[in-house]
Amino acid sequence: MKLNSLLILILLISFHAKSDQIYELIKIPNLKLYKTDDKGIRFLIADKNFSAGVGVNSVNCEKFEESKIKSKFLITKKNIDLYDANFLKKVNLKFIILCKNLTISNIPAIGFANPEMKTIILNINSNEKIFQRVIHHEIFHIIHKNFENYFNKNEWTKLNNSEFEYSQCSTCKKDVGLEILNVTNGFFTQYAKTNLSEDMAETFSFLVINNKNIQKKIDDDLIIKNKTIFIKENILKVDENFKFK
Amino acid sequence: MLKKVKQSKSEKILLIFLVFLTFFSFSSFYVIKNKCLFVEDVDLKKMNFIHPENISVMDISCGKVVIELMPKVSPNSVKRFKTLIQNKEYDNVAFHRVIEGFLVQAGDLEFGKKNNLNYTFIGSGQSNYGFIKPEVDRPFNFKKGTVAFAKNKKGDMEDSEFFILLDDAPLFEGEYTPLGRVTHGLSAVEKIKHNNDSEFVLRPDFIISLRMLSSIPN
Repeated sequence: MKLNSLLILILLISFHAKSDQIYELIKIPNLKLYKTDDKGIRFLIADKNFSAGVGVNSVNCEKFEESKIKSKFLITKKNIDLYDANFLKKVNLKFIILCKNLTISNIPAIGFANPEMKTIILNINSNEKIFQRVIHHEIFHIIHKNFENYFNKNEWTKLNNSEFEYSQCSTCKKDVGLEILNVTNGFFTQYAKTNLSEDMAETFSFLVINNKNIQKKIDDDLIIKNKTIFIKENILKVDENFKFK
Repeated sequence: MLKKVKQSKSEKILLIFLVFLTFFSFSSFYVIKNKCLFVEDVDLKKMNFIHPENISVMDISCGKVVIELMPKVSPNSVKRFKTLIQNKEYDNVAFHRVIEGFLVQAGDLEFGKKNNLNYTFIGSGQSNYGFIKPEVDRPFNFKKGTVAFAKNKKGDMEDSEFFILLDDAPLFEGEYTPLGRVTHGLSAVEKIKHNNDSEFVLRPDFIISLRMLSSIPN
């Protein structure tokens, strides 16, 4: 017992103190506050490259050039403004981190959601269209985690063709494209086929971004149509005032 | 017969310098050793409080710390804090987590007691009073000296652990439940033992006692 305690103590003492308030709140070092918006969302940027977490969810991201900050912030803010303050409070989103070359467990990623820390991390070096949609995709992960009881897995699974099975994980497939598919067959993107949670998040993100092309896909694909109805109905349970396009 | 040698001017200066150096070395040895030097002396007898029922006094190694509790901001949490104080639960509890110049944290009643300090689990203990929900909706300025409840490991409930801010932390607004503010004796809090390389402290300082003002004899 004493040896155990000593080992743990040595381990604790070997970690350097991360003494700023951002680290205290979300356990990610080397960040600085860029802006706090009127909805209480705190936009953070990497002050230096950072690593956080251990094991499966180890997150690495890099500081990006000062010149790119404003434009990426404005794009992010424009998309966050699609949600009202009450909704963001309900779903428990507080922190948005902007950085470049994001990797999760050494796999390049465009976004990452950590619902426990009320945080999403966005990789700014991705094409603008996808970057915008990923914001909503990650927001859905936060919603999903906080309202799991609304988004019933069995009900969702029944919406797919009976023979369809998701992959074991979101990175188990080689083809994880985020571009909208020409032939949808129940899925907006290849990435949506990776797992149930990603499928829901992809559906939600297309619903929020919605345009003529997306609406046509919804109208032409009964499975997608049913999935969008499922998402809309349950998002309205989270917040009855939420408005889709 | 010995010839008397007269000191030169430079030798006299050197001698005076050596005397000063010796004096300075000895005095600084004792001054540096006393970590509580220059700490504000808190004399409760000289103080008047508008709401004495909301004043608590913490006794720590470098002196007294006066905390004004704010039940109007966080009624339920302050009620819990007062209950713990009245039951003397914080006596001999460690400041187990100290970040120099930022915050000190204490209040692990399970693993942080002086006679039952458990370095393996310190910071994860629970009181016998159960968890309470944070009260984070009211606006509050988390400036230096703020006392607030810390959250449990999951980050959604509070119990008995609290922290005192040694620096402004505006981002804490809406995240932690404010309990009150240190009105006197913050310099004593700043002297609480810390570890330069870690938030967790080996052989930490302890709260000697924490009492409501009303229970302190005149």
